[in-house]
Amino acid sequence: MNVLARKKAKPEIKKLSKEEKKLLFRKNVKRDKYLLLMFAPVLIYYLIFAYLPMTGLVMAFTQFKAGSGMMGLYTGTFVGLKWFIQFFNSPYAFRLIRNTFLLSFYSLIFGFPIPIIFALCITQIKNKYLQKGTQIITYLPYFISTVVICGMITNFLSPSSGIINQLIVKAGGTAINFLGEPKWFRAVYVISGSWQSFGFNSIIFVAAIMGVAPELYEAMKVDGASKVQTIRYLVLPSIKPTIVLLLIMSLGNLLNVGFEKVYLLYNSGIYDTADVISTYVYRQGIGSQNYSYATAVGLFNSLIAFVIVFTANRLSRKLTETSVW
Amino acid sequence: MKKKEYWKAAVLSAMIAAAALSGCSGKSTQAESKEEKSNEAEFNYTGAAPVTNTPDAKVSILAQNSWYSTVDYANADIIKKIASNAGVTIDWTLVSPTNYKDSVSPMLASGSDLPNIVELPDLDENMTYITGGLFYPLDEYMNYMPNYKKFLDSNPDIKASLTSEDGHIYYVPQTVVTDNYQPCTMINMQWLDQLGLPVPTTLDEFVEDLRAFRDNDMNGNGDKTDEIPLSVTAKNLPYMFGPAFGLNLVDGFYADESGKVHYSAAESENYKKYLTFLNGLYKEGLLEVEYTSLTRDQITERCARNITGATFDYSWQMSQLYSKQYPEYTGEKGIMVGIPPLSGESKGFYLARNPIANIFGVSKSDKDPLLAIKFLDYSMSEEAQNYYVWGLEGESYTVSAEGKKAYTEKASDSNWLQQLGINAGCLPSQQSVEATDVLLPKWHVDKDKELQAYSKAPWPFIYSTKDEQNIISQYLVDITTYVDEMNVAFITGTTDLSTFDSYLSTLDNMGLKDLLKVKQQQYDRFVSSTK
Amino acid sequence: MNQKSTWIEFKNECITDKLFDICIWVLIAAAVCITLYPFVYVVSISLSSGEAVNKGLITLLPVDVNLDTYWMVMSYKDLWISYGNTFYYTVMGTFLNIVFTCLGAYPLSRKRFFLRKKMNFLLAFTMYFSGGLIPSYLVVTGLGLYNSRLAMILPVLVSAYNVMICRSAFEGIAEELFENAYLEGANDLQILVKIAIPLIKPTLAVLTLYYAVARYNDFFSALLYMGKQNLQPLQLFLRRILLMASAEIMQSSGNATAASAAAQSTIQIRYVCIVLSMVPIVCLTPFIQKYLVKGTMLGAVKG
Repeated sequence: MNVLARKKAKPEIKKLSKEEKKLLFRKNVKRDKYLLLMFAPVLIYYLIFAYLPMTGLVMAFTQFKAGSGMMGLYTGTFVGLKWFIQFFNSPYAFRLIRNTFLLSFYSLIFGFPIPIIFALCITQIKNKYLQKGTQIITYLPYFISTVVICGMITNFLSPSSGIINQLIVKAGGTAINFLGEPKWFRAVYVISGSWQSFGFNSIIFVAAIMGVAPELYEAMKVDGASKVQTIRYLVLPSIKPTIVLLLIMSLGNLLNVGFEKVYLLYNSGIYDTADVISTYVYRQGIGSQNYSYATAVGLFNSLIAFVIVFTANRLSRKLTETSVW
Repeated sequence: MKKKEYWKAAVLSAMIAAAALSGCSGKSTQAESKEEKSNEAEFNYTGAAPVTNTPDAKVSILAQNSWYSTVDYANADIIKKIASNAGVTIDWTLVSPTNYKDSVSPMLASGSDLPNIVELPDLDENMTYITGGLFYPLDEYMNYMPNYKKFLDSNPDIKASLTSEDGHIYYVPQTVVTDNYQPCTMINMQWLDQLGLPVPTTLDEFVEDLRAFRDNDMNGNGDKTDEIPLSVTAKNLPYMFGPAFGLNLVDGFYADESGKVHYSAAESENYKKYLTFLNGLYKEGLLEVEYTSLTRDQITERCARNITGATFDYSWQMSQLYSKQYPEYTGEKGIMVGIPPLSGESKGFYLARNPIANIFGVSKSDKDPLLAIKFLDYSMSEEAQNYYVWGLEGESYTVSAEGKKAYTEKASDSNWLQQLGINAGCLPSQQSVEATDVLLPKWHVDKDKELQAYSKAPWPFIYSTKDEQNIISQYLVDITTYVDEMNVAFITGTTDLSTFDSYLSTLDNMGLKDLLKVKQQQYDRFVSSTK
Repeated sequence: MNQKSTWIEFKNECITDKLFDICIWVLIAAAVCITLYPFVYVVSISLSSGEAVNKGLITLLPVDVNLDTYWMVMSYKDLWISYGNTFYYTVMGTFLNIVFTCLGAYPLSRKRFFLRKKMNFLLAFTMYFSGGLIPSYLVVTGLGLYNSRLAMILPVLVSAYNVMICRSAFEGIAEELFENAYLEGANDLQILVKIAIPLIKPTLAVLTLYYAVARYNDFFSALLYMGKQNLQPLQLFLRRILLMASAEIMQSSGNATAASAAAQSTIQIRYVCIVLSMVPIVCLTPFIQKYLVKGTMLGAVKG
């Protein structure tokens, strides 16, 4: 009901004539001239390095012909939706999409809250050195490259000699072949992903929490609030805009499962849960690259991601007044 | 209306920008090449150095650098000697082999500013680069390539592989040894000796040995349960047991004696027997649970801890990796040693390699390719091959009075030999057995000669036409995904072997028949080209 | 801030807070253990003797401490050249990243900017759609950037993701500050430099870290655009060493030279290279942390 009333109350926008539009434009440019000046290099950057290559997406609808330079992007033989059809004709298309989606969805559900919780914990540490030291230690896994992390994971999870299984056996259980059974892959992927990045991802939340003025904490104390209450009623609301912004932007990654990590951890025994779009496209490309096919699949991914983020952004604008654009 | 115009303008400007960019790149060698053209054509090159008499003759080459990170081929003496013999200066662009495919594929996709000679990032199976018109058809220049002509005539198989659908030959190959130092089964000789057992020759004998490894305390630490009979990675497993069932599970496709093409994973009898056999090994604990995720590092660790009895890997690892892990290893006698292939119902064999490892093309970026073509030809001449294999006379090898060549003491220093540029990967070298022999201990060399007798040719390299490529790209990845998945499922028992027939019919429904037709077509084409 | 007062504080807290504190400490201890362990593991392997490594004896601490592999790797000239390159790309790159991010985010944060909505969308769109490998490659090489140091900097000059974060930070600054400045005759450029940027120091610190890590870890741009070995960054060097031992390499080349080179890239060498490649970037973090100080917004609002 309120919405309807709001809609009705919107003021009438006068339709400007061509002349008036031009005048308004000139006025705006004059008033915002410094802003335009500042933004100009950034705009040029995006036009050259983002939008110009984007015109190459045409490649997804043609048979790319190698060796013709930039014009080759636009002049291949037109094949329409051939690549998309080829991908969707595969009996595995649904499985690939499902696996890709679930891996990133679980990563988000599991991996998004943890840095926030951790940031809250870290900012509770009173001792400056302890706090900074803990932070540094927790970032470390992020800097270890994927190839090494996967080597470590394979080692730790080995049924015969890995630490995890040794602990399980000592506790009386039987060793689990984590990397050999499909049902474990998602857990391995998500947990190892969170473990690697929670420290690093918490930095931005720590910065946001630090931005809360100390007087507000004092005020809460004076009111007799416990630590838990302070967090619930002061800190969390203060960092809500940051959380919402990052959440929406993360949603854009829902169909982007990093190729390298899955590739290093998977094997044909666990294709059922581990085979994702990027690894499948890679296997297609062994022999000679089929760039058009890869572009088509990439375009499909981007489209879905964009639709998801667009919807989330709309929702967020209505519900929380924070949005990405 | 306005919006449409706006979009039109935007697209137009994008295209103009693109055209401008493509125009920006690409040097013009018009002026220079006109002069050289007459020179190069006139100079009488008959196969031996030099290739030209033009002063300051330059050839630019894009190729793989050495596998050894401390070696740079541009400074290697062998390479320099070849260039100076030919009378040219080479402008090298060398990229590390680990990055080669990723770095160079986009270069070829863009096609601009390519050096005269390019080592391709792959074998151009789908003729992507040929269709893109990037390289000169070398068969039209055979007058200038006497060495290559001779090579092709004496290697009809390679000639057939390299002849594309339009009848032209675009590339010069870098070949590798096909029958020597191929992957083989290896057994822990110490353990066999401890049990007093002979080297197994059949599957049954091998299984008996594995059982013995499993049940006894082989490494003498008092624990009977820590021995792992067979440590093999999922990638190597098909190499290992496939041949005993008459299957080539590595290439998947193979031709029988009558020339009919089969797909190994669809062989209703033999493949089922193969799976049953492996399933048996798995159930008995002889093929370990971890095999699907096992890595070479883990196998190395097992050798160091002396807890494994058998494995399968590239022959090289026998002496250079696995045997070295054992403290008892002196270099005289191997510990993890290769054995002749196991026979089952079919006589065992080891799959050989395809001789073509890398290919070189002469790019169309130079209007006058004659200099590059002649140099490429010289770089594969016997004289050049001699350099690749033996190095520099007096330094890395000596020739006896009877004309017998032998490596010098200095040459046994592998690092120094690599610095010299032995077996250079940046030119069309033909890997030789001798050059590999010198790097290995005698027991390994002898063993290799013994195993050489068992090798069998793999599926040949054949170009795909556009139509063939369509069918292959439509079905192959899905079929191999299904086959690999079901392979593991049958072996580990997740799927019962009684459902094998439904597996076969699913495979049929995935387009296997069409794929087989295409492969048969390709194979027939190959066979007729070799005649 | 001393131990005694913290303990007294703890005793005086209500029961929920006490439980809360205990939870926090447990969580933090757990977090530290699980993140410290792999790092210690890697360092231990790099410091142990070759045989112990091959036998898999290392679980936590080094066995038979041995610095030979370190000396060997540090004697590769390539390592130092690539360190230098990485240093250049990271410092120059990050600096330019931050400058252009601020220049882009500030206008987007001003509500009166007449192109605001359109530009916001323009940037956000690029987070999801990209031309892909070949078109980007063609543009960059078409501009003549192949084998130029700029190829590591220009194509990645601005990250829309970070601009959004920076914009959000600018939006958080109270409007009165800007209004006061306008009244005193300042223009947007002066406001940006003298008022806005100092106020978002913590965010800028975080973005500097994000960008620095991204520049530091970028190997793919180098793979595509840095043909000359003496321009290549550390990550490419590291990748070469790490991939040498992979199964793919063996299968695709299968020749003896590759195999023998691969055998030299032992587990230990790989781990030594990892440690050497982690040290610089880890050393950067304490400097960043200096800026993550409580209540930096304080003082600005009061005036």
